[in-house]
Amino acid sequence: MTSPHLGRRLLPLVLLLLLVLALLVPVRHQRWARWFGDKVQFIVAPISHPLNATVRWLGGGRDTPPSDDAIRVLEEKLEETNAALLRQISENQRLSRVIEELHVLSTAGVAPPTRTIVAPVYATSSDLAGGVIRVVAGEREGVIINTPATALGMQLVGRVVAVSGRTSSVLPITARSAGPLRAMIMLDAEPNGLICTLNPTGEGTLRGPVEARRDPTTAQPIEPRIGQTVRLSDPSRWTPSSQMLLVGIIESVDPAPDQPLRKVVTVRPTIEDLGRVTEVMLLLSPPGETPGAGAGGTP
Amino acid sequence: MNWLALAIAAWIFLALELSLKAGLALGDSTIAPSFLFVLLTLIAMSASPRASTWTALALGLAMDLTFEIPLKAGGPPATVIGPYALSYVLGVQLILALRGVMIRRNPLTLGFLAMVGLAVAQVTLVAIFSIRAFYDPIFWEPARELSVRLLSCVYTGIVGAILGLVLIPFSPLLGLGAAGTPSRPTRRA
Repeated sequence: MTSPHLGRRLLPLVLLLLLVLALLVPVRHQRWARWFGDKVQFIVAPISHPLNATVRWLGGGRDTPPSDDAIRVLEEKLEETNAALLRQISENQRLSRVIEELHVLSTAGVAPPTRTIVAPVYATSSDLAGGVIRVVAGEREGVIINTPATALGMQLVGRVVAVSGRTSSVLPITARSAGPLRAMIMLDAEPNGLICTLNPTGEGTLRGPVEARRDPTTAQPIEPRIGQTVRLSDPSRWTPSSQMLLVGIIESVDPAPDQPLRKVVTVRPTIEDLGRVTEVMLLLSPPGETPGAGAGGTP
Repeated sequence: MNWLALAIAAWIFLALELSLKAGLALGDSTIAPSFLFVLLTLIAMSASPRASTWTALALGLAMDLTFEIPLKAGGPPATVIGPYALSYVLGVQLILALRGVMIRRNPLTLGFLAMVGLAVAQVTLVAIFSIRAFYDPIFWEPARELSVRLLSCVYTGIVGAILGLVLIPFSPLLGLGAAGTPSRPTRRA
């Protein structure tokens, strides 16, 4: 590699440089390192991609679709239609409010169409503390930061947090660093359910308090129940096309520790572990669509 | 030391690190083995101290470049150069100190040295990121990370012992000499 003499002198210098980079240089000044990281990922992808797919397939088929293709397609279509219907109802409600409040029809835009692409997962971060999964789709395909990612069946997986030419990093909603998201517990087919703010627990679930609401006819409190569906309703942080996507199913309902009359729900995604999916669908939005600009889910 | 063979082995083991790690994680936790450190341990068991240290630097750098640490603000995750490289160098120093009193042909030795060497590396890594967390907006929970990473060391030790059954017989391909003995006399710096 190097002559012994040169190597002996070079090693302390390299160690000193790494010490400075590791301890003193802030992350905002190390953005250039990502370019090298992408290249390293690209070099190992020919091995990591097939291994990744094989191991995840062998690992119990955590997101293995039904063996019957017809059933799988029907399930996907059903879930996709449900989400689209709820989005449209929600959008209608929003537009009605806009019309009522502003009396200006032209200000109400229609939810833009969404293009989807299937992106295989080819690797994870070398350190699982990061929680991100790397997918084969990038700027060339039109992926941008905050593009939502779903699994087959329209289960929300997460969103794109970094993107390069050919690849992107997706942070699952269940990763501890993903932060809170606002969701709606579906009481019926209408998007007027209970709003909850869910935080990842780090154990594959999300947990958070539910709004207190009473039935206007009976004055009885409306309480969440185990098994109810929870959908995304966070227009301020997620794109309009991701609203009403499936977050998961309520696994448990407990009283809030500090307010016993309020409830805290634990929600588990319909896929066992979102960090181990074999492929994701990226919902590409047309240019100009940003969080907070479109359909809301506020009842 | 056959550097070309080492580069190919590093390429394969880095791919294993990026693909198998999540799949082998225990339950919903992030407790998972490190394949790359097992390879590093195999090299540190037999190669010269200088070659081992340079290998630790290179493999640690590869880990740094492929680790995206999330930020609190929810922005794009960051890549930080140095923490893994320095941690692996320190971990390897312990292996170099211990290898003289170990039976190198035994796969259990590979597992044990991988476990203790990685423990040193992970403690160093947690310390570095904990210091960074004072001034950088990284998402970092020191106590949780330390416990998870120390359990990962045990897991790596078990995987290392199993891999040792395959790796030790193949070590001559890396220029490490038969059955893990040095290919040439080591000279202390």
